[in-house]
Amino acid sequence: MSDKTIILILCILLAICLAALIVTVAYFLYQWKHLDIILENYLKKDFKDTANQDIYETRESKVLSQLYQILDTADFKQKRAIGEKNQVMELISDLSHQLKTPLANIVMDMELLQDDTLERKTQKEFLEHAKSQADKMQWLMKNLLKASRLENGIINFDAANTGIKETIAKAVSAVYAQAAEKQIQISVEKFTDFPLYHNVKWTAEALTNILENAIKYSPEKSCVQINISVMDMYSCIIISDEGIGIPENEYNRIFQRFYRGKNTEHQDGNGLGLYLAQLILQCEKGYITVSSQIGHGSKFSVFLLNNYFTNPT
Amino acid sequence: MKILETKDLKKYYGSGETQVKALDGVNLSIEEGEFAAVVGTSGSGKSTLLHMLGGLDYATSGTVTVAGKQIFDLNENELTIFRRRKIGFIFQNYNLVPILNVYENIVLPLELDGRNIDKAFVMDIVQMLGLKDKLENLPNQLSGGQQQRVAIARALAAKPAIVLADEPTGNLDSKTTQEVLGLLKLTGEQFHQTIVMITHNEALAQLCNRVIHIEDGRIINDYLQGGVIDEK
Repeated sequence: MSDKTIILILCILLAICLAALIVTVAYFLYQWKHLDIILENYLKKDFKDTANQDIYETRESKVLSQLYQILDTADFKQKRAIGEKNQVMELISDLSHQLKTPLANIVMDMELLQDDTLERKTQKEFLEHAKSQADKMQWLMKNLLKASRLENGIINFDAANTGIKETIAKAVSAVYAQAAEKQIQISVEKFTDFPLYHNVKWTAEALTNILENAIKYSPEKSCVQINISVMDMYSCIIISDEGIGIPENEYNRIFQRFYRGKNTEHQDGNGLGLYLAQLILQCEKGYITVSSQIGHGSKFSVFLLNNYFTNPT
Repeated sequence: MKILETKDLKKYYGSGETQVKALDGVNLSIEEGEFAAVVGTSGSGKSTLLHMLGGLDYATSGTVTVAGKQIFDLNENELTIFRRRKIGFIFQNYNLVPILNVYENIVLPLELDGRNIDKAFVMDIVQMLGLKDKLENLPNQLSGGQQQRVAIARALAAKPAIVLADEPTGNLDSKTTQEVLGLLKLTGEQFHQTIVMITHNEALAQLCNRVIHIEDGRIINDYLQGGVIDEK
């Protein structure tokens, strides 16, 4: 082979290598630019990926796919922190609005009572009406206070792996008088104390709400039973009553804010007890479920974790 | 952000007089982080809905948008990869690989995708689901509830956009059912996972923060729990 041919071949090889290099560099620049655009869009809160770049088998596609996951998670964390707090803020707002109506009624009653020509009987009616409105306001204020304390609590909810016996004892003693009035017996299953992940004060409050309902909707001289059931990951406190029961289609709704069951018109109450209880349980990674039959009582199961390990995510 | 959205979704089988309208115009949207239950009796269309949402079958008409992408616009290959990366499944009968141990089952989807395994993240999930001492066990050495927990771990480890669960507690007794649902909810919240669960049992939907009722291929009810009641 002549020198010229060798040089020619080398030049061609060089040109090919150069071309390959340029193509490779261009390809990577394009990929980096694309990643850049995605990060930029994330900052601008624009999440569409119209090019379908993250569903190919290439390594770049996989990296892109993982990048999306990281961005999604970061964004989501932010939103959730706001979400929890918003729930309670909404409750507080609702309660404050609800104060307006009874107050307006009291003002109206007072104005009507200023009429000297009213009969004793009518006067008494207005006074009773005003009193009931004042009672309602008191109840609203009480729950307003509770809710705002809970709102603060959500920010630094203090739960720990601590004994459950004290918590149950607290809840039972809080409703003891109410139960005694109706001669209802509260019986707690005998058990050795053991730790569960929870906040003693708030959990006692949640249990009290459930017990109050049990007593309210149970007939006199009946029994409210508290049992414990330990499972693999959770343990559950079961509160059973012999009350009027809850229809299956209301299972989910009784935990709604201000919801009152269809059979509860003749009882006092304003639909917040179970809502607050569920909210509290949520904060300590637990939950409440209900199982019931009309006319055969209800069973509320309060689930708490046996153990909770804080983890860095 | 809406992680899942369907617009006028229809799935008809057959034609003429024997036509079955499994889904008849379903409009649904799920926000990120929700734990939603789709409740319906047998034949209501809930399983068909799940298949549509998971991209396991194409619809007759209408769209399903997952994480911003209309999945019916993708071809079979793209859809397969999309499913692998963006959607997690939990089935009624666990569907674990019997010859792999617990840990291998959990990381299987990640290995199939050729991804690096974030061991710390996987161990977090394992810890939360109480499987730390069982990583070397084979599925047949575990109880039903434990196997389902492994299935949950597997779905979560891949960090999909959405997890679809088809009657996840169907094969479990009532106590285990409660536990597994509680864990599904707990881990979903902890690891920022959106979960859609299909079930025929209204009582199971108690733990969900969104309850959707489906009947005769249509949504008849859709409400958020913990808010003020708002029923159609």
